[in-house]
Amino acid sequence: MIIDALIKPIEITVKDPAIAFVNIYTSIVYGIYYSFFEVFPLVYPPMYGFSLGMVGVLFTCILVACILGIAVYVSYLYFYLVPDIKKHGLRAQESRLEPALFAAFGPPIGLFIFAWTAHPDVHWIASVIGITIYASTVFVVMQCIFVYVPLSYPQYAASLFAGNDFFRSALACGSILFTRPLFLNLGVGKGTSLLAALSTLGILGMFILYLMGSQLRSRSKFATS
Amino acid sequence: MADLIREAPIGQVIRWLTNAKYLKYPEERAGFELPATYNAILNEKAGSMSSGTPSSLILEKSKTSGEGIPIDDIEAIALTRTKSRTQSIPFTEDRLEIEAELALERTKTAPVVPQKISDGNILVEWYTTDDPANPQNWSNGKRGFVALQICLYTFAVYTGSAIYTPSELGVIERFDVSATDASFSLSLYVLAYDINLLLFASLSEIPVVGRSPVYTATFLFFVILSIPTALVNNFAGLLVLRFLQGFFGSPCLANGGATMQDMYSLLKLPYALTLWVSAAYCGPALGPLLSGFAVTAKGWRWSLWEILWIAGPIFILMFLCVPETSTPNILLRRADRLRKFTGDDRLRAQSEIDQRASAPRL
Repeated sequence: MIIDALIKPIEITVKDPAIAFVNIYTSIVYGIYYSFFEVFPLVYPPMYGFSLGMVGVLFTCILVACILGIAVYVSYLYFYLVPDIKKHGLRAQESRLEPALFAAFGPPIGLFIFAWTAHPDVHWIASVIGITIYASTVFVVMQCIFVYVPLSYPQYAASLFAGNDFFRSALACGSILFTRPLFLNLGVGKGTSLLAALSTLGILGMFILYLMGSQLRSRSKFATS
Repeated sequence: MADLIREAPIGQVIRWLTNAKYLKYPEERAGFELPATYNAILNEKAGSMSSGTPSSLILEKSKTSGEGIPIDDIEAIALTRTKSRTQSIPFTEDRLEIEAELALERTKTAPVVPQKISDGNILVEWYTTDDPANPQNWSNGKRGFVALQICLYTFAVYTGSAIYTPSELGVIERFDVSATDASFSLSLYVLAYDINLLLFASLSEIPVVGRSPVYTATFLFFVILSIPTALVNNFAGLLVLRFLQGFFGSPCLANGGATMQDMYSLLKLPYALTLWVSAAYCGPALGPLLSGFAVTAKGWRWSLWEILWIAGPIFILMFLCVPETSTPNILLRRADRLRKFTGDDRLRAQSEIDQRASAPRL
Protein backbone atom coordinates (compact mmCIF):
# COMPACT_ATOMS: atom_id res chain seq x y z
CA MET A 1 0.00 0.00 0.00
CA ILE A 2 2.85 2.36 0.75
CA ILE A 3 4.63 1.48 -2.47
CA ASP A 4 1.39 2.11 -4.30
CA ALA A 5 1.04 5.48 -2.65
CA LEU A 6 4.58 6.34 -3.64
CA ILE A 7 4.26 5.33 -7.26
CA LYS A 8 0.78 6.63 -7.99
CA PRO A 9 1.59 10.34 -8.22
CA ILE A 10 4.49 9.71 -10.57
CA GLU A 11 2.37 7.40 -12.66
CA ILE A 12 -0.35 10.01 -13.03
CA THR A 13 2.18 12.68 -13.95
CA VAL A 14 3.68 10.56 -16.66
CA LYS A 15 0.43 9.36 -18.15
CA ASP A 16 -1.65 12.50 -17.98
CA PRO A 17 -0.51 15.59 -19.91
CA ALA A 18 -2.63 18.06 -17.97
CA ILE A 19 -1.10 16.96 -14.69
CA ALA A 20 2.35 16.89 -16.22
CA PHE A 21 1.92 20.49 -17.31
CA VAL A 22 0.57 21.54 -13.92
CA ASN A 23 3.46 19.90 -12.12
CA ILE A 24 6.11 21.34 -14.39
CA TYR A 25 4.65 24.84 -14.34
CA THR A 26 4.23 25.01 -10.59
CA SER A 27 7.69 23.56 -10.15
CA ILE A 28 9.23 26.23 -12.33
CA VAL A 29 7.49 29.16 -10.65
CA TYR A 30 8.11 27.77 -7.20
CA GLY A 31 11.73 27.10 -8.03
CA ILE A 32 12.13 30.68 -9.22
CA TYR A 33 10.54 31.84 -5.97
CA TYR A 34 13.20 30.01 -3.99
CA SER A 35 15.91 31.34 -6.23
CA PHE A 36 15.20 34.85 -4.94
CA PHE A 37 17.04 33.90 -1.79
CA GLU A 38 20.15 33.59 -3.87
CA VAL A 39 19.57 36.57 -6.14
CA PHE A 40 18.87 39.26 -3.61
CA PRO A 41 22.30 39.14 -1.99
CA LEU A 42 23.81 39.42 -5.48
CA VAL A 43 21.77 42.44 -6.48
CA TYR A 44 21.09 44.71 -3.55
CA PRO A 45 24.29 44.82 -1.51
CA PRO A 46 26.64 45.45 -4.45
CA MET A 47 24.37 47.77 -6.41
CA TYR A 48 22.64 49.74 -3.69
CA GLY A 49 24.83 49.22 -0.66
CA PHE A 50 22.27 47.31 1.41
CA SER A 51 23.47 45.47 4.47
CA LEU A 52 22.60 41.83 5.01
CA GLY A 53 19.86 42.70 7.45
CA MET A 54 18.29 45.14 5.02
CA VAL A 55 18.18 42.43 2.36
CA GLY A 56 16.08 40.47 4.82
CA VAL A 57 13.76 43.46 5.20
CA LEU A 58 13.36 43.53 1.43
CA PHE A 59 11.63 40.19 1.68
CA THR A 60 8.64 41.86 3.24
CA CYS A 61 7.68 42.65 -0.35
CA ILE A 62 6.68 39.02 -0.62
CA LEU A 63 4.44 39.47 2.40
CA VAL A 64 2.82 42.42 0.63
CA ALA A 65 2.47 40.29 -2.48
CA CYS A 66 0.86 37.53 -0.47
CA ILE A 67 -1.65 39.96 1.02
CA LEU A 68 -2.47 41.28 -2.45
CA GLY A 69 -2.84 37.75 -3.77
CA ILE A 70 -5.09 36.76 -0.87
CA ALA A 71 -7.22 39.89 -1.37
CA VAL A 72 -7.69 39.18 -5.06
CA TYR A 73 -8.31 35.48 -4.65
CA VAL A 74 -10.58 35.62 -1.62
CA SER A 75 -12.72 38.30 -3.24
CA TYR A 76 -12.94 36.09 -6.33
CA LEU A 77 -14.04 33.22 -4.09
CA TYR A 78 -16.48 35.26 -2.07
CA PHE A 79 -18.11 37.28 -4.82
CA TYR A 80 -17.95 34.86 -7.68
CA LEU A 81 -16.97 31.26 -7.06
CA VAL A 82 -18.93 30.22 -3.97
CA PRO A 83 -22.21 31.80 -5.12
CA ASP A 84 -21.62 30.15 -8.48
CA ILE A 85 -21.19 26.73 -6.90
CA LYS A 86 -24.27 27.28 -4.78
CA LYS A 87 -26.33 28.20 -7.82
CA HIS A 88 -25.01 25.87 -10.48
CA GLY A 89 -23.21 23.14 -8.62
CA LEU A 90 -19.73 22.18 -9.65
CA ARG A 91 -19.44 23.20 -13.28
CA ALA A 92 -16.84 22.40 -15.87
CA GLN A 93 -13.58 22.55 -14.06
CA GLU A 94 -11.95 24.77 -16.61
CA SER A 95 -14.02 27.70 -15.43
CA ARG A 96 -12.02 27.54 -12.20
CA LEU A 97 -8.95 28.50 -14.19
CA GLU A 98 -10.23 31.89 -15.24
CA PRO A 99 -8.28 33.92 -12.67
CA ALA A 100 -5.21 31.94 -13.57
CA LEU A 101 -5.51 33.03 -17.18
CA PHE A 102 -5.05 36.62 -16.10
CA ALA A 103 -2.56 35.84 -13.41
CA ALA A 104 -0.41 33.69 -15.70
CA PHE A 105 0.85 36.89 -17.32
CA GLY A 106 2.15 38.11 -14.01
CA PRO A 107 5.29 35.99 -13.53
CA PRO A 108 6.95 36.96 -16.83
CA ILE A 109 6.00 40.61 -16.36
CA GLY A 110 7.34 40.71 -12.83
CA LEU A 111 10.53 38.92 -13.72
CA PHE A 112 11.28 41.09 -16.73
CA ILE A 113 10.74 44.19 -14.62
CA PHE A 114 13.13 42.83 -12.03
CA ALA A 115 15.68 41.78 -14.63
CA TRP A 116 16.04 45.16 -16.27
CA THR A 117 15.54 47.53 -13.34
CA ALA A 118 18.10 45.85 -11.11
CA HIS A 119 20.69 48.43 -12.00
CA PRO A 120 22.49 50.98 -9.87
CA ASP A 121 20.97 53.84 -11.87
CA VAL A 122 17.41 52.77 -11.17
CA HIS A 123 15.84 53.17 -7.72
CA TRP A 124 15.62 49.85 -5.92
CA ILE A 125 11.87 50.08 -5.46
CA ALA A 126 11.38 49.36 -9.17
CA SER A 127 12.88 45.90 -8.98
CA VAL A 128 11.04 45.24 -5.73
CA ILE A 129 7.79 46.08 -7.50
CA GLY A 130 8.70 43.53 -10.10
CA ILE A 131 9.17 40.89 -7.43
CA THR A 132 5.88 41.83 -5.82
CA ILE A 133 4.03 41.43 -9.10
CA TYR A 134 5.68 38.06 -9.56
CA ALA A 135 4.91 36.79 -6.09
CA SER A 136 1.27 37.90 -6.00
CA THR A 137 0.39 36.46 -9.39
CA VAL A 138 2.19 33.21 -8.62
CA PHE A 139 0.07 32.93 -5.49
CA VAL A 140 -3.16 33.37 -7.46
CA VAL A 141 -2.07 30.91 -10.18
CA MET A 142 -1.12 28.27 -7.67
CA GLN A 143 -4.38 28.64 -5.78
CA CYS A 144 -6.35 28.24 -9.00
CA ILE A 145 -4.39 25.16 -9.93
CA PHE A 146 -4.93 23.72 -6.48
CA VAL A 147 -8.66 24.13 -6.96
CA TYR A 148 -8.64 22.80 -10.52
CA VAL A 149 -6.65 19.64 -9.86
CA PRO A 150 -8.81 18.07 -7.12
CA LEU A 151 -12.00 19.01 -8.95
CA SER A 152 -10.80 17.23 -12.05
CA TYR A 153 -9.35 14.18 -10.36
CA PRO A 154 -11.34 13.68 -7.19
CA GLN A 155 -10.28 10.16 -6.35
CA TYR A 156 -6.62 10.91 -6.67
CA ALA A 157 -6.61 14.35 -5.10
CA ALA A 158 -4.36 13.35 -2.22
CA SER A 159 -1.86 11.57 -4.47
CA LEU A 160 -1.86 14.47 -6.87
CA PHE A 161 -1.11 17.00 -4.19
CA ALA A 162 1.62 14.78 -2.91
CA GLY A 163 3.08 14.40 -6.39
CA ASN A 164 2.86 18.13 -7.06
CA ASP A 165 4.59 18.92 -3.79
CA PHE A 166 7.24 16.38 -4.63
CA PHE A 167 8.07 17.93 -8.00
CA ARG A 168 7.86 21.44 -6.66
CA SER A 169 10.20 20.88 -3.79
CA ALA A 170 12.59 18.85 -5.90
CA LEU A 171 12.93 21.67 -8.37
CA ALA A 172 13.10 24.25 -5.57
CA CYS A 173 15.99 22.31 -4.11
CA GLY A 174 17.71 22.31 -7.47
CA SER A 175 17.00 25.92 -8.26
CA ILE A 176 18.65 27.14 -5.07
CA LEU A 177 21.79 25.48 -6.30
CA PHE A 178 21.79 26.49 -9.93
CA THR A 179 20.75 30.11 -9.68
CA ARG A 180 23.90 31.42 -8.13
CA PRO A 181 26.16 30.23 -10.98
CA LEU A 182 23.44 31.28 -13.42
CA PHE A 183 23.44 34.84 -12.17
CA LEU A 184 27.17 35.05 -11.78
CA ASN A 185 27.79 33.88 -15.32
CA LEU A 186 24.98 35.58 -17.20
CA GLY A 187 24.52 38.63 -15.07
CA VAL A 188 21.30 39.47 -13.31
CA GLY A 189 19.56 40.95 -16.35
CA LYS A 190 20.05 38.08 -18.72
CA GLY A 191 19.75 35.41 -16.06
CA THR A 192 16.37 36.61 -14.87
CA SER A 193 15.22 37.05 -18.44
CA LEU A 194 15.97 33.40 -19.01
CA LEU A 195 13.75 32.46 -16.09
CA ALA A 196 11.09 34.90 -17.27
CA ALA A 197 11.09 33.27 -20.69
CA LEU A 198 10.53 29.86 -19.11
CA SER A 199 7.53 31.14 -17.24
CA THR A 200 6.19 32.70 -20.45
CA LEU A 201 5.75 29.20 -21.78
CA GLY A 202 3.46 28.77 -18.82
CA ILE A 203 1.06 31.36 -20.21
CA LEU A 204 0.76 29.32 -23.35
CA GLY A 205 0.27 26.14 -21.41
CA MET A 206 -2.37 27.71 -19.19
CA PHE A 207 -4.42 28.79 -22.21
CA ILE A 208 -4.09 25.37 -23.76
CA LEU A 209 -5.23 23.82 -20.51
CA TYR A 210 -8.22 26.13 -20.35
CA LEU A 211 -9.30 25.58 -23.94
CA MET A 212 -8.55 21.90 -24.30
CA GLY A 213 -8.86 20.76 -20.72
CA SER A 214 -12.10 18.92 -21.16
CA GLN A 215 -10.74 17.01 -24.13
CA LEU A 216 -7.60 16.10 -22.27
CA ARG A 217 -9.64 14.89 -19.36
CA SER A 218 -11.92 12.74 -21.44
CA ARG A 219 -8.90 10.98 -22.84
CA SER A 220 -7.30 10.58 -19.44
CA LYS A 221 -7.76 7.44 -17.44
CA PHE A 222 -7.71 9.20 -14.13
CA ALA A 223 -10.04 12.12 -14.52
CA THR A 224 -13.74 12.49 -14.20
CA SER A 225 -15.27 14.40 -17.07
CA MET B 1 -12.29 23.51 26.50
CA ALA B 2 -11.93 20.28 28.40
CA ASP B 3 -12.92 18.53 25.21
CA LEU B 4 -10.13 20.20 23.36
CA ILE B 5 -7.53 19.18 25.93
CA ARG B 6 -8.81 15.66 26.11
CA GLU B 7 -8.57 15.23 22.36
CA ALA B 8 -5.17 16.88 22.14
CA PRO B 9 -2.01 14.82 22.55
CA ILE B 10 -1.59 15.92 26.16
CA GLY B 11 -5.03 14.59 27.00
CA GLN B 12 -4.29 11.27 25.40
CA VAL B 13 -1.02 11.02 27.27
CA ILE B 14 -2.72 11.82 30.59
CA ARG B 15 -5.37 9.22 29.89
CA TRP B 16 -2.77 6.64 29.03
CA LEU B 17 -0.69 7.38 32.13
CA THR B 18 -3.59 7.41 34.59
CA ASN B 19 -5.44 4.57 32.85
CA ALA B 20 -8.32 6.83 31.87
CA LYS B 21 -9.02 8.05 35.38
CA TYR B 22 -8.99 11.73 34.34
CA LEU B 23 -10.40 13.36 31.24
CA LYS B 24 -13.01 10.72 30.66
CA TYR B 25 -15.03 10.49 27.52
CA PRO B 26 -18.81 10.55 27.92
CA GLU B 27 -18.92 6.80 27.38
CA GLU B 28 -16.62 6.18 30.29
CA ARG B 29 -18.35 8.33 32.87
CA ALA B 30 -20.68 6.78 35.39
CA GLY B 31 -24.27 7.12 34.39
CA PHE B 32 -23.65 7.02 30.66
CA GLU B 33 -26.56 5.56 28.82
CA LEU B 34 -26.29 4.28 25.34
CA PRO B 35 -28.45 6.39 23.04
CA ALA B 36 -31.88 4.90 22.71
CA THR B 37 -31.41 4.20 19.04
CA TYR B 38 -28.45 1.95 19.76
CA ASN B 39 -30.27 0.13 22.55
CA ALA B 40 -33.19 -0.55 20.31
CA ILE B 41 -31.04 -2.12 17.65
CA LEU B 42 -28.89 -4.10 20.05
CA ASN B 43 -31.88 -5.50 21.89
CA GLU B 44 -34.17 -6.23 19.02
CA LYS B 45 -34.89 -9.80 18.21
CA ALA B 46 -32.89 -11.30 15.43
CA GLY B 47 -34.62 -11.25 12.07
CA SER B 48 -37.29 -8.72 12.90
CA MET B 49 -35.55 -5.75 11.32
CA SER B 50 -34.57 -5.22 7.76
CA SER B 51 -30.90 -4.72 7.34
CA GLY B 52 -29.26 -2.39 4.91
CA THR B 53 -25.78 -2.72 3.56
CA PRO B 54 -23.58 0.34 3.80
CA SER B 55 -23.30 0.71 0.09
CA SER B 56 -27.01 0.82 -0.61
CA LEU B 57 -28.24 3.73 1.44
CA ILE B 58 -31.46 5.18 0.22
CA LEU B 59 -32.57 8.64 1.16
CA GLU B 60 -36.17 8.22 2.17
CA LYS B 61 -38.09 11.41 2.19
CA SER B 62 -39.97 11.39 5.43
CA LYS B 63 -40.02 13.19 8.70
CA THR B 64 -37.04 12.85 10.97
CA SER B 65 -37.89 11.37 14.36
CA GLY B 66 -38.05 13.84 17.22
CA GLU B 67 -38.68 13.35 20.90
CA GLY B 68 -41.33 11.13 22.39
CA ILE B 69 -41.43 8.36 19.83
CA PRO B 70 -41.95 4.86 21.20
CA ILE B 71 -38.46 3.49 20.97
CA ASP B 72 -39.36 -0.12 20.35
CA ASP B 73 -41.22 1.04 17.33
CA ILE B 74 -38.16 2.20 15.48
CA GLU B 75 -38.55 -0.20 12.59
CA ALA B 76 -41.91 1.27 11.94
CA ILE B 77 -40.55 4.76 11.50
CA ALA B 78 -39.02 5.64 8.20
CA LEU B 79 -36.12 7.82 9.17
CA THR B 80 -34.15 9.87 6.75
CA ARG B 81 -30.63 8.70 6.65
CA THR B 82 -28.12 10.91 4.97
CA LYS B 83 -25.03 9.26 3.64
CA SER B 84 -22.06 9.69 5.84
CA ARG B 85 -19.71 12.36 4.61
CA THR B 86 -16.70 10.11 4.52
CA GLN B 87 -18.43 7.78 2.12
CA SER B 88 -18.25 10.34 -0.64
CA ILE B 89 -15.15 11.37 -2.47
CA PRO B 90 -14.10 14.93 -1.70
CA PHE B 91 -14.46 17.62 -4.37
CA THR B 92 -17.37 15.98 -6.13
CA GLU B 93 -21.03 16.96 -6.62
CA ASP B 94 -21.85 14.05 -4.33
CA ARG B 95 -19.91 15.55 -1.46
CA LEU B 96 -21.49 18.96 -2.09
CA GLU B 97 -25.01 17.53 -1.84
CA ILE B 98 -24.28 15.48 1.23
CA GLU B 99 -22.78 18.44 2.99
CA ALA B 100 -25.79 20.57 2.17
CA GLU B 101 -28.01 17.92 3.74
CA LEU B 102 -25.77 17.63 6.78
CA ALA B 103 -25.73 21.39 7.20
CA LEU B 104 -29.51 21.40 7.38
CA GLU B 105 -29.60 18.52 9.81
CA ARG B 106 -27.00 20.12 12.02
CA THR B 107 -29.46 22.77 13.10
CA LYS B 108 -31.57 20.28 14.99
CA THR B 109 -30.45 17.65 17.45
CA ALA B 110 -31.85 14.60 15.78
CA PRO B 111 -30.52 11.20 16.71
CA VAL B 112 -28.66 9.29 14.04
CA VAL B 113 -29.90 5.77 13.83
CA PRO B 114 -27.00 3.35 13.60
CA GLN B 115 -27.00 1.04 10.64
CA LYS B 116 -27.10 -2.65 10.80
CA ILE B 117 -24.83 -4.40 8.37
CA SER B 118 -25.52 -7.69 6.69
CA ASP B 119 -23.06 -9.71 8.77
CA GLY B 120 -24.73 -8.64 12.00
CA ASN B 121 -22.43 -5.80 12.96
CA ILE B 122 -23.74 -2.42 13.90
CA LEU B 123 -22.03 0.61 12.48
CA VAL B 124 -20.89 3.16 15.06
CA GLU B 125 -21.58 6.69 13.88
CA TRP B 126 -22.17 10.10 15.39
CA TYR B 127 -24.81 10.02 18.09
CA THR B 128 -26.80 13.00 16.86
CA THR B 129 -26.78 15.26 13.85
CA ASP B 130 -25.03 17.95 15.84
CA ASP B 131 -22.70 15.65 17.74
CA PRO B 132 -19.92 17.86 19.13
CA ALA B 133 -17.36 15.14 18.53
CA ASN B 134 -17.74 15.57 14.77
CA PRO B 135 -15.10 18.03 13.58
CA GLN B 136 -17.57 19.39 11.04
CA ASN B 137 -19.86 20.39 13.90
CA TRP B 138 -17.30 22.31 15.90
CA SER B 139 -17.94 25.99 16.43
CA ASN B 140 -16.22 28.47 14.16
CA GLY B 141 -14.05 29.59 17.04
CA LYS B 142 -12.78 26.12 17.78
CA ARG B 143 -12.13 25.30 14.14
CA GLY B 144 -10.48 28.65 13.65
CA PHE B 145 -8.21 28.02 16.62
CA VAL B 146 -7.15 24.62 15.31
CA ALA B 147 -6.66 25.99 11.81
CA LEU B 148 -4.56 28.82 13.25
CA GLN B 149 -2.31 26.34 15.01
CA ILE B 150 -1.83 24.33 11.85
CA CYS B 151 -0.95 27.54 10.00
CA LEU B 152 1.53 28.51 12.71
CA TYR B 153 3.06 25.06 12.58
CA THR B 154 3.40 25.27 8.79
CA PHE B 155 4.85 28.75 9.11
CA ALA B 156 7.43 27.56 11.64
CA VAL B 157 8.61 24.72 9.43
CA TYR B 158 8.78 26.83 6.27
CA THR B 159 10.50 29.69 8.04
CA GLY B 160 13.08 27.17 9.17
CA SER B 161 14.08 26.69 5.57
CA ALA B 162 14.99 30.23 4.58
CA ILE B 163 15.93 31.60 7.97
CA TYR B 164 19.31 30.06 7.32
CA THR B 165 20.06 32.26 4.29
CA PRO B 166 21.77 35.15 6.08
CA SER B 167 24.05 32.65 7.82
CA GLU B 168 25.55 31.45 4.59
CA LEU B 169 28.42 33.91 4.74
CA GLY B 170 29.19 32.84 8.28
CA VAL B 171 29.13 29.19 7.28
CA ILE B 172 31.44 29.80 4.34
CA GLU B 173 33.91 31.43 6.69
CA ARG B 174 33.61 28.94 9.50
CA PHE B 175 33.76 25.70 7.54
CA ASP B 176 35.74 26.95 4.58
CA VAL B 177 33.29 25.80 1.91
CA SER B 178 32.09 27.41 -1.30
CA ALA B 179 28.92 29.47 -1.59
CA THR B 180 27.13 26.72 -3.45
CA ASP B 181 27.95 24.28 -0.68
CA ALA B 182 26.58 26.67 1.89
CA SER B 183 23.31 26.99 0.02
CA PHE B 184 23.21 23.21 -0.19
CA SER B 185 22.12 23.26 3.41
CA LEU B 186 19.00 25.19 2.42
CA SER B 187 18.26 23.01 -0.57
CA LEU B 188 18.67 19.78 1.41
CA TYR B 189 16.06 20.99 3.88
CA VAL B 190 13.66 21.73 1.03
CA LEU B 191 14.40 18.39 -0.61
CA ALA B 192 13.87 16.48 2.62
CA TYR B 193 10.44 17.78 3.32
CA ASP B 194 9.28 16.84 -0.10
CA ILE B 195 10.62 13.34 -0.40
CA ASN B 196 8.82 12.30 2.74
CA LEU B 197 5.48 13.86 1.85
CA LEU B 198 4.21 10.71 0.27
CA LEU B 199 5.14 8.69 3.30
CA PHE B 200 3.49 10.88 5.90
CA ALA B 201 0.37 11.54 3.88
CA SER B 202 -0.43 7.86 3.58
CA LEU B 203 0.50 7.28 7.21
CA SER B 204 -2.06 9.67 8.57
CA GLU B 205 -4.79 8.22 6.38
CA ILE B 206 -4.53 4.94 8.29
CA PRO B 207 -7.48 5.15 10.71
CA VAL B 208 -5.64 3.67 13.69
CA VAL B 209 -2.95 6.32 13.45
CA GLY B 210 -4.94 9.48 12.79
CA ARG B 211 -3.37 12.89 12.44
CA SER B 212 -2.26 13.95 15.92
CA PRO B 213 0.38 11.26 16.49
CA VAL B 214 2.02 12.08 13.18
CA TYR B 215 2.11 15.82 13.89
CA THR B 216 3.22 15.49 17.48
CA ALA B 217 5.92 12.90 17.02
CA THR B 218 7.51 14.50 13.98
CA PHE B 219 7.37 18.03 15.32
CA LEU B 220 8.90 16.85 18.59
CA PHE B 221 11.82 15.39 16.66
CA PHE B 222 12.02 18.60 14.65
CA VAL B 223 12.34 20.66 17.82
CA ILE B 224 14.84 18.29 19.40
CA LEU B 225 16.96 18.21 16.25
CA SER B 226 17.11 21.99 16.15
CA ILE B 227 19.42 21.89 19.15
CA PRO B 228 22.29 19.90 17.61
CA THR B 229 21.80 21.79 14.34
CA ALA B 230 22.65 25.00 16.14
CA LEU B 231 25.62 23.49 17.96
CA VAL B 232 27.22 21.36 15.26
CA ASN B 233 30.87 21.83 14.52
CA ASN B 234 31.45 20.22 11.15
CA PHE B 235 29.86 20.89 7.83
CA ALA B 236 28.78 17.35 7.03
CA GLY B 237 26.96 17.23 10.34
CA LEU B 238 25.18 20.46 9.51
CA LEU B 239 24.00 19.06 6.20
CA VAL B 240 22.76 15.82 7.73
CA LEU B 241 20.94 17.59 10.54
CA ARG B 242 19.30 20.06 8.16
CA PHE B 243 18.13 17.15 6.02
CA LEU B 244 16.67 15.45 9.09
CA GLN B 245 15.00 18.68 10.17
CA GLY B 246 13.32 18.90 6.82
CA PHE B 247 12.37 15.23 7.02
CA PHE B 248 10.60 15.72 10.32
CA GLY B 249 9.01 18.93 9.19
CA SER B 250 7.20 17.48 6.20
CA PRO B 251 3.87 16.41 7.75
CA CYS B 252 2.76 20.02 7.91
CA LEU B 253 2.69 20.15 4.15
CA ALA B 254 1.38 16.63 3.69
CA ASN B 255 -1.42 16.67 6.23
CA GLY B 256 -2.25 20.33 6.80
CA GLY B 257 -4.61 20.33 3.86
CA ALA B 258 -6.21 17.10 5.03
CA THR B 259 -6.81 18.56 8.49
CA MET B 260 -8.52 21.56 6.94
CA GLN B 261 -10.64 19.21 4.87
CA ASP B 262 -11.69 17.30 8.00
CA MET B 263 -12.98 20.41 9.68
CA TYR B 264 -14.42 22.51 6.89
CA SER B 265 -17.07 21.63 4.34
CA LEU B 266 -16.38 22.02 0.64
CA LEU B 267 -17.81 25.53 0.36
CA LYS B 268 -15.81 26.94 3.26
CA LEU B 269 -12.69 24.94 2.47
CA PRO B 270 -11.15 27.31 -0.11
CA TYR B 271 -10.86 30.05 2.52
CA ALA B 272 -9.16 27.78 5.02
CA LEU B 273 -6.82 26.41 2.37
CA THR B 274 -5.95 29.91 1.15
CA LEU B 275 -4.89 30.90 4.64
CA TRP B 276 -2.87 27.75 5.08
CA VAL B 277 -1.13 28.14 1.73
CA SER B 278 -0.30 31.73 2.53
CA ALA B 279 1.33 30.62 5.78
CA ALA B 280 3.44 28.24 3.73
CA TYR B 281 4.13 30.93 1.15
CA CYS B 282 5.18 33.66 3.56
CA GLY B 283 7.29 31.35 5.67
CA PRO B 284 10.38 31.30 3.49
CA ALA B 285 9.93 34.99 2.73
CA LEU B 286 9.98 36.09 6.34
CA GLY B 287 12.85 33.81 7.28
CA PRO B 288 15.68 36.08 6.16
CA LEU B 289 13.91 39.03 7.75
CA LEU B 290 13.83 37.29 11.10
CA SER B 291 17.47 36.42 11.14
CA GLY B 292 19.13 39.04 8.92
CA PHE B 293 20.03 41.64 11.51
CA ALA B 294 20.48 39.07 14.24
CA VAL B 295 23.09 37.17 12.29
CA THR B 296 25.04 40.32 11.55
CA ALA B 297 25.07 41.20 15.22
CA LYS B 298 25.39 37.83 16.89
CA GLY B 299 26.97 35.36 14.52
CA TRP B 300 25.80 32.75 12.07
CA ARG B 301 24.54 30.23 14.61
CA TRP B 302 21.86 32.63 15.77
CA SER B 303 19.52 31.87 12.87
CA LEU B 304 19.57 28.19 13.72
CA TRP B 305 18.75 28.96 17.34
CA GLU B 306 15.82 31.03 16.12
CA ILE B 307 14.36 27.93 14.54
CA LEU B 308 14.26 26.37 18.00
CA TRP B 309 12.69 29.45 19.51
CA ILE B 310 9.96 29.59 16.91
CA ALA B 311 9.25 25.88 16.85
CA GLY B 312 9.44 25.21 20.59
CA PRO B 313 6.48 27.29 21.82
CA ILE B 314 4.41 26.29 18.82
CA PHE B 315 5.07 22.65 19.65
CA ILE B 316 3.97 23.18 23.23
CA LEU B 317 0.83 24.93 22.03
CA MET B 318 0.10 22.11 19.61
CA PHE B 319 0.72 19.49 22.24
CA LEU B 320 -1.78 21.14 24.51
CA CYS B 321 -4.41 22.23 22.07
CA VAL B 322 -4.59 20.43 18.74
CA PRO B 323 -7.33 17.80 18.80
CA GLU B 324 -7.61 14.78 16.62
CA THR B 325 -9.56 15.70 13.52
CA SER B 326 -9.56 12.52 11.47
CA THR B 327 -13.13 11.17 11.40
CA PRO B 328 -12.21 7.48 10.93
CA ASN B 329 -9.91 7.68 13.92
CA ILE B 330 -12.48 9.36 16.19
CA LEU B 331 -15.13 6.81 15.29
CA LEU B 332 -12.71 3.92 15.69
CA ARG B 333 -11.89 4.94 19.24
CA ARG B 334 -15.55 5.54 20.00
CA ALA B 335 -16.42 2.04 18.78
CA ASP B 336 -13.71 0.70 21.07
CA ARG B 337 -15.16 2.51 24.08
CA LEU B 338 -18.69 1.41 23.25
CA ARG B 339 -17.59 -2.18 22.97
CA LYS B 340 -15.99 -1.91 26.38
CA PHE B 341 -19.12 -0.30 27.79
CA THR B 342 -21.68 -2.70 26.41
CA GLY B 343 -19.57 -5.80 26.12
CA ASP B 344 -21.21 -6.28 22.75
CA ASP B 345 -18.83 -7.13 20.00
CA ARG B 346 -21.13 -6.22 17.18
CA LEU B 347 -20.43 -2.50 17.41
CA ARG B 348 -17.86 -1.72 14.76
CA ALA B 349 -16.52 1.40 13.14
CA GLN B 350 -16.54 1.76 9.37
CA SER B 351 -12.76 1.58 9.15
CA GLU B 352 -12.69 -1.78 10.96
CA ILE B 353 -15.28 -3.15 8.58
CA ASP B 354 -13.34 -1.89 5.58
CA GLN B 355 -10.17 -3.36 6.96
CA ARG B 356 -11.76 -6.71 7.53
CA ALA B 357 -13.22 -6.65 4.07
CA SER B 358 -9.84 -6.00 2.53
CA ALA B 359 -7.93 -8.45 4.70
CA PRO B 360 -7.26 -11.79 3.07
CA ARG B 361 -9.59 -14.49 4.20
CA LEU B 362 -7.87 -17.65 5.29
